[in-house]
Amino acid sequence: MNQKTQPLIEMHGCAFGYGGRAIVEDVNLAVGQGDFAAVLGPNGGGKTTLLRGLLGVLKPLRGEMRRANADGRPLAFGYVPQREGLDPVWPVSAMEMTLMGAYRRARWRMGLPLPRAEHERAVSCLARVGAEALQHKLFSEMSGGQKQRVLVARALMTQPDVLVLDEPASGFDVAAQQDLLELLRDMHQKENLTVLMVSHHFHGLQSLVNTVTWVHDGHVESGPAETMLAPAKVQEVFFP
Amino acid sequence: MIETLREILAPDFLLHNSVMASLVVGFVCPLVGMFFVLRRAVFLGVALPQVSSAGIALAFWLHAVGIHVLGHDETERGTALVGSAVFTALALVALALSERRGRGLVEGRTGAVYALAAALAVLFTARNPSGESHVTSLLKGEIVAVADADLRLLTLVYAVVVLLVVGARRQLVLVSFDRDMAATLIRRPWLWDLLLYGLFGLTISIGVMIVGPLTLFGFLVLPVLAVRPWARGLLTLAIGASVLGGATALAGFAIAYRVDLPVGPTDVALGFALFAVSTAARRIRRC
Repeated sequence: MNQKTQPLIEMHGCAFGYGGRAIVEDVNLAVGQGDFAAVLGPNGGGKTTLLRGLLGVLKPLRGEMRRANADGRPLAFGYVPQREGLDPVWPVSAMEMTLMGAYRRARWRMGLPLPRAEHERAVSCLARVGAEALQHKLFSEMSGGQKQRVLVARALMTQPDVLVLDEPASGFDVAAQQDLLELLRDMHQKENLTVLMVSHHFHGLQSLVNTVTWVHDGHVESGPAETMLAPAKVQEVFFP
Repeated sequence: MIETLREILAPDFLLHNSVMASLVVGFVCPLVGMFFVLRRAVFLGVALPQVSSAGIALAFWLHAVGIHVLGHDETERGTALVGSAVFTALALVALALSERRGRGLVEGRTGAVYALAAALAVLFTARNPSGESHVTSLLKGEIVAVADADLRLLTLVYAVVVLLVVGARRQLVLVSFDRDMAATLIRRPWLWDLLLYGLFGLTISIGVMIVGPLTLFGFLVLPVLAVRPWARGLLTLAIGASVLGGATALAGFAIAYRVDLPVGPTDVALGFALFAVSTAARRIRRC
């Protein structure tokens, strides 16, 4: 974690789950301004549950959680969900998808169209992820990589304090994975964007992330990337 | 056909109210039905009109046996409206609560509600001393006999529905399309779900009373299904489905009037024909 500033997200002894039953327990983690944090672990270990808690979709069953800016304002999350979770039956264009990121700012414009400035910002967000040409294309007709870029553009449109990505490279070949990681590295470095990525892939992350949280069998361990991605630690998580 | 359209659209046409009611239902129902189709809750769209019918049948039966829930000066239509609204609201609450508990199959629960509602509508009608055929014709939706008061009520309620759908479209789309994203952008997303279910209930409880469950379901779903393969965005889907619904209502009325057929089933058959043509044309274009 970047030690110069107060963490944007802090969890102390948190537990998250469904119907009162904890799926992940004793979560202690901190994400600071400008961090690139990874939440890693095998499938079914509780990563998505932790992510939903972090986003505020699930309330902690126990423990304390703080999610705020240095000035105390609640955090704005730019959320990139798993693209397979979005139903292709919806005929949503890339432009409409990106504009969804402006809905919080437009909450009092009931019935009125979004201002021209929001449309211009959406074009700019699509351009930042190299998807400007896809504006009028339907989300359901895009390739996996194109979908991921549009979802990142939508998340950027929220003007986030933290960009949160859920399994962004899942189902990609190696080249597409590298392409996406380069895009995230670029945004992280050039814009000092705080990024939190959930993944079950950990190859290629060593040079990208600075903190890692392992989630396996409901247990959570956090630490610096160089320690947590050491071969012995990976062995311990996957072959206990 | 043009001559028939001119005749049925004339203000002094004997069935002018019926034409207007068909048009209102045709234009508005697809805007609400879009959410049934895109949330993959079409089965709910079949079940709720049937539940509403059961409420109407119960209300007619109570009215016929002298039990007046709205006082002694209540009208048959007023009782029907209360029955329809109460039954629809109860079904929505029951289905929402059971979905929240997350046990069993959603389709199974909706199917069970549909079966029970269909049975209750028949049973209440069978016990009605004022005559089965009279009640059955009312349940079918007498589009050919729409009173001025019914048309005013339908127009007013559906205008409110359109205002709410247009006004809250961003929130309704977000909670329906991407719930987790909605939770990060909107405070209390469940309130918008509640509004959507309220709109379902309002549209169905009034619509069933005027045009009947079959026609209402047809207008909720068929125009949306016909336009969806061609839609290049949500706005084009909403406008396209609404315009197609209105056009189907008008053309269906003209055909029914010209060849002496019941209006509701003619509308639904025409809506299905348009859906089939649209699907086939889309497949040919893709080849």
